[in-house]
Order: sequence, then C-alpha cells, then structure tokens
Amino acid sequence: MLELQNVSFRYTPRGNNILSHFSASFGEGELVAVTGRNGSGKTTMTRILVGLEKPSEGIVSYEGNDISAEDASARSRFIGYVFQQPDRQMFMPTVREEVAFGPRMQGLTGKELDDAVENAMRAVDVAEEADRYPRSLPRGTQQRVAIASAIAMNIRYLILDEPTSGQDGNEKKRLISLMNALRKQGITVILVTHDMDIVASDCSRVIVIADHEKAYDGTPENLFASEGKAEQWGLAVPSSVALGRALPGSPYCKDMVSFCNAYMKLHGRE
Amino acid sequence: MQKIDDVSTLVFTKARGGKFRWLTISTLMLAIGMLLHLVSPSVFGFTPNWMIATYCVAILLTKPSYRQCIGICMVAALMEVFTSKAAFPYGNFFSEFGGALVAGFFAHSVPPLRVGRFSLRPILTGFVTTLVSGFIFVTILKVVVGIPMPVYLYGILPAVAMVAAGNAAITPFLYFPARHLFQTMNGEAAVDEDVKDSDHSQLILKQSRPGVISIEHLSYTYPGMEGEALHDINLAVEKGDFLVVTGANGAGKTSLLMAMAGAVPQYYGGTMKGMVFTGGKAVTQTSISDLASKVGVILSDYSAQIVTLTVGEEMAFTLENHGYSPEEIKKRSKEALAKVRLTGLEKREVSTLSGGQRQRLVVAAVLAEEPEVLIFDEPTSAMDPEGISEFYEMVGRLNRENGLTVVVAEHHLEAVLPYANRFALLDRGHLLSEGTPEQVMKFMMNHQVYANAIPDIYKAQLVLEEEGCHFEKPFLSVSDAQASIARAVKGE
Repeated sequence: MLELQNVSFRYTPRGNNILSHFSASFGEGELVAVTGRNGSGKTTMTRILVGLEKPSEGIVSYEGNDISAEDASARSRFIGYVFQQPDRQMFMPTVREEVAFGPRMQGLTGKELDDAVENAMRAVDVAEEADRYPRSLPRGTQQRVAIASAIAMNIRYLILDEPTSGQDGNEKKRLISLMNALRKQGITVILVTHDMDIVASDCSRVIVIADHEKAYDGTPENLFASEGKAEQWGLAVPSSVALGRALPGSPYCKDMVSFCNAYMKLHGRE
Repeated sequence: MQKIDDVSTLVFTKARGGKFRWLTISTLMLAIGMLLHLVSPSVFGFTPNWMIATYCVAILLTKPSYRQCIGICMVAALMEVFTSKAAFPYGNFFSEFGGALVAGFFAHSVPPLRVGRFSLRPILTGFVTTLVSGFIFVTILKVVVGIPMPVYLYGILPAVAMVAAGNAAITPFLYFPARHLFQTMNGEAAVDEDVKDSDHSQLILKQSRPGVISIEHLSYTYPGMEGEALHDINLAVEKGDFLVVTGANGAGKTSLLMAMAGAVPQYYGGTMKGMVFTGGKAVTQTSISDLASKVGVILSDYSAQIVTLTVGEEMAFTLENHGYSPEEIKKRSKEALAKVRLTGLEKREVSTLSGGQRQRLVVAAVLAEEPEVLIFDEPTSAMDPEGISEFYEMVGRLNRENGLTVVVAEHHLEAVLPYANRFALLDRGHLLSEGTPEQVMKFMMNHQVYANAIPDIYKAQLVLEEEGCHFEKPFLSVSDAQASIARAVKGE
C-alpha cells in the first residue's frame, strides 16, 4: 500500500501550492489513471511519489512506514518511473546493459542478475533488441526498455508519464496489454495521461487533479457519465462516451465496441 | 545538356553526409596522431610514425579526392615539421606528398583484400605509405645533410623498413575501431562501398504534371540499407492543399517529406530513382538552401531547430542570412510572429517559452522566409489534446487565410480531419491510397492497413454501415457524428 497523506507541495516557503492537501492510496494490481490540465500538478504528484520531490506538508507512506524523507534511489526498490521521453533516462550502450544497471546497483550479480534481466526483457518483448543501442530504437520500444529496467528491480508500483502520446494504434494496444499483464502480477500501474479513450476503455480508476487539488477519485464511468463533469476540469470526453450521449437514455459506452453494440440493440439487430 | 523525358529512368546516388566530412574526420585523426606522436614510447629505439598512421586511417575511411589527400598530408607534414627533431625537417613536405598519393591510391584503387572477416588493406596501406614517405624523407636528408652512402644503405633504409613494419602493425588497430564507430554512428552505412556522387546539373528536367510539388516515380534507398524506403511513389501536391501523409511507423512518411524538401537525397545520400520537383525545380539540381525558400520544414523535434537565445534573434537569424536590411527584418519578423500569435515576444528568452510556444516560434521562423509550402513531420507527437487542437487551428488558418500549402505526416487523424482536403497512405514504402480523407480511411478499413489510426468515431460509422445502418453525414467530428446519430435514431 502506497499512500500520500494530506500532501502539500510548493517550491518556496511563501510560494503558491503546486499541490494542496492531496491524499490518495494505491493498492496492489490497480491500473490508475492520473489526469488533469497541463500545470494542474499531476506530474508533481508522481514526482513526490517517486521521491524526486519531498512534500512540504503531509507524508508519503509505504507499507505503513513514513518514507517522505527517502530519496528516489532508495524508493527505486519498489517504485519505477518511465519518463515521457524515455531516452532521457537511458545511458547504457545496449538494451541488456540498460536493463541490468538497476538490479546491479541493487547488488544482484552473476546468474541472478542475468536471469532477472532476461525475464524482464522477455516480459516486455524487447529480447530481440537486447544488443541494440537504446536511443536508436523507436519511442514505443524505448518505453518498453524503461519498463523492463523497472521490472528487473522487482518494483511493485510503476509510473508511466504520457506513454501513449505520439504512438500509433498498434503500439498503444501493445502497451495496454503489457500493463494488464503487469497488473495480474500484482504490480500497480499509475498512468499520467491525457488520453481519455484509454482511461475509459482500460482503467478501473481515475484521479483528476484540478486547481492543485484532488477533484475526483473514482471510476471512469462516474466521471464521464454526466455531461459537464469532466469538461469542467478541462478534460476531453472519450469519443465513445460522446457518441453514447447521442443515443436515447445516454448509455455509458466505455469504448467503441460498446457503443456499436448499444446502437445495434436500439434497432433490434444484434 | 541532355533532355530527360521519362524521369522514371533517372538514378541519383550520393554518399551520406555533407561535403566536408572528409575534413572533419581528417582533422580529428591528425589531432589524435599528434597526441600519440608526442606521448608515444619507443620500442628498441623505434617509434611508429603516428602521423602517417592516422592520416592513412582518415583517407581509408573517407576516401577523399587526391587533391584533398594532398591537403590532409600537407597539414600532417606541417605538424611534423613543428615537432620534428630531424636535421632537415622540411623534407616532410615532400615525403608526405608522396604518402598522400600512396594512401589515396590504396583508398581508391585497391580492393579490401579480405582474409576471413578482416581486410588486409589497412596493414598494406600503413606499410607501403610509411615506406614510401620514409624513403623520400631520408633520401632528401641524405642529400641535404650529406650522410655517407653506407650509413644510408645499411643503417637508415633498414630503419625506415622497421618503422614501416611498426606502422603496418598499428594502422589496423586504429582503423578497425574507427570504422566500427563510424558504422554504428551512421547507422549501417558501409564504409567500403565506393559511392560515386551523381551530378544532374547537365540535365533538363521538367515536371510532367502541375502542382507546387510533384513526386514522379520516386524510389529511394538509404545508404547502406538493403530495402527501399520508398518505392515508385507518384504524388502531386496542388497549391492550397492540406495534405496528410499517414502510415505506420517506418512506412516512409519522414522519407517522403524529406524528399519533398530535397534533404533526401542531398543530405541523407543513398540512391534515388525518379524525381521530385519542388517549386518547379528538380531537387537534385537545386541546393537545399534554395529549396528552403519554397518549402519550409518543421521537424518533430522542433527544439532542435532553434539556434538562438531569444525570439527576436531566432526570427532574425534566417533573414540575416538572406541579406535583408534591419528594417526589413523587423517588419518580416513582426508579420510572421503575428501569424502564429506570438506577437510582441521578441525580447523573450527561448528557454522561458513553453513547448507549444517554441513550436510556434519555429513555424514563425520558417514563415519569415515566405515559403509556398509548410511541411510538418509528426508535429503533435508530444502534445496534450488541447495543444493539438490549438496547433491545427493555427495551421488550418495559415492554410485557408494565408494560402499556404500544408503537408503533414500525422498519426492523430481525428485532429486533422476538420482541415485536411487530402490524405495519402504509405505502407512499407508504397503509396497505397490517395484521395479525400474519407476515400483513404475507407481504404484503410477495407484493406486493414494501419486501420488503428482511423479515428474511432469514423471507424464506428464504417462498422455500423457494414451492419446495414445508414447515416446522413460522415462522422468526421464528434458534433457531426452526434447529429447524424440523433437524426438516424429519430428517423427509425
């Protein structure tokens, strides 16, 4: 259980709060989307979770222990982070060495290390690129390498910053099925995203940050079902939901398949 | 001058990289040689000649012309003269002249001579070049200083042979790592292949159909790559078009856009068949900087295109290069900044701008040259939905109000649908479909090519239509779709 308890954050003592009285807890095996306008504080929230920033007020707790003072390097034993531009976190000459770096720093050696690396690479499907220079790979593949680096360190929480922006449909699908596979292993994936389509179709929980506070923490359905709720916080409405609203009764359609089924049902054809 | 009627028969080849690659690499190698020369320990009183070894490596790697070889070696000679302890160091100029010719000969006219995986050429080049260079040097020394013949024949010449042997040993140790570094940095571009740069300046080429850009039978292969990046592409862009080029990653979108700008093949090298006409000119007959006045390119990593510190300086940069007066520069900067809604920000430092503002700055800088065509390579890859709609609203305005032709490589088709009048679908280098957005999206759906990119809304319409439903208006936007659905539901 990873928790933020009443966390506030500002850069200078008399500055404005970037995040105000924010509380949220993350259990096992969840797929949580964190969203909000640019500048709302969502990236700051993830940075506080990871340890790149320390809360000005409130605490970060893991398994009941207060880890607010722990550095990012200490927290890396249970939490991993993939940047929006993954090539900014890579620096080794091959994928294999990149994935091995974290576990090696944790003290793994020899066969244990090799196994951890091989398993991680296979889990994200980059085993074929093991000897390639990471920064020459396409962005989707780089993301998977970054995820492999985190998995190899046996993290329980994985934060992905805008992983689907700029990806084509195939890459998105691949990423989502990877995230679901990680969920099944008990890893919680926290997704900072603007992609409302993914939020509606695949996430079980969404946190909305607006005006530096937590504005919503619940299911996507509750967020999008009533018109105007998501829009007030600057969020786009997933297209399937928008189309659903045009049908009588405004059924909630979490993806296009649901919408098409709903439409067909209306016409007595299945 | 030869007139070409059928451009599909044209072939243009070029080595990758700019014209001065031989210079930068040689300079680097000579600097390394100088350092090694100064710190090198001697073995049994002999040291290999590091200057000769490093210029051999530079010449073998970059294959410069004989004139360029002599240039390289004269610089090497000068460096040797400055650090020489010989009685008559100026003989170096003559010896390295000979060395230049020998090394050039090995680079151009001697095949790699492989034994297993390794080429024997570096060893031979090192040996023979040093032998010839050394021979010339000591002979001049003998004549000038008056060394007795027996000493010359039985003492000094064998010493030259020993040094040559030493060089034969060290040259491969310098050459192979350098070549490996070369290849990994330049992708898979092979170094041994002899690519002769084509020259089209004597041909008369005319585009066969009207359009501000005409791509005719274009096929293109990157240097050293096996497969074609583009195959037999025929596409014309008319003035005022808003053309969206789409396709999966690796389909050839960037290559196609670079071909429109002339960077393919002039900058990237490789082999090009067919021809691209931009602004009426063939891209192989016009320099990239001349083409830049017709076609403005904004890359997806737009920050990389910003070279100055403030907004005003960035705007002035290109205009100064064109020789405009300060008043003219000010006027054009203001106009361009107004077009992208960055008015009044001339004094702002680029580092304080947001990503979206920086992108607009690059667009403004490109607009200042008043091109006819704007080319965007995946401009929205790192943007949030608000940013994407604002961006295309600006581009759409430039297209409609300022008459700029726009070509965009894009995955986010739903964002461009309100503005695009044409789509083009690429798949593994082939142009599979081209026409109105609806025509191409239907093709993508029916043939399941890159169907993931079809906006979900439009895809839903196609799916429902397949089940026999009928809608008034195509689902090109959320509001259109909602209206059509409401009407269809009411009607039934």
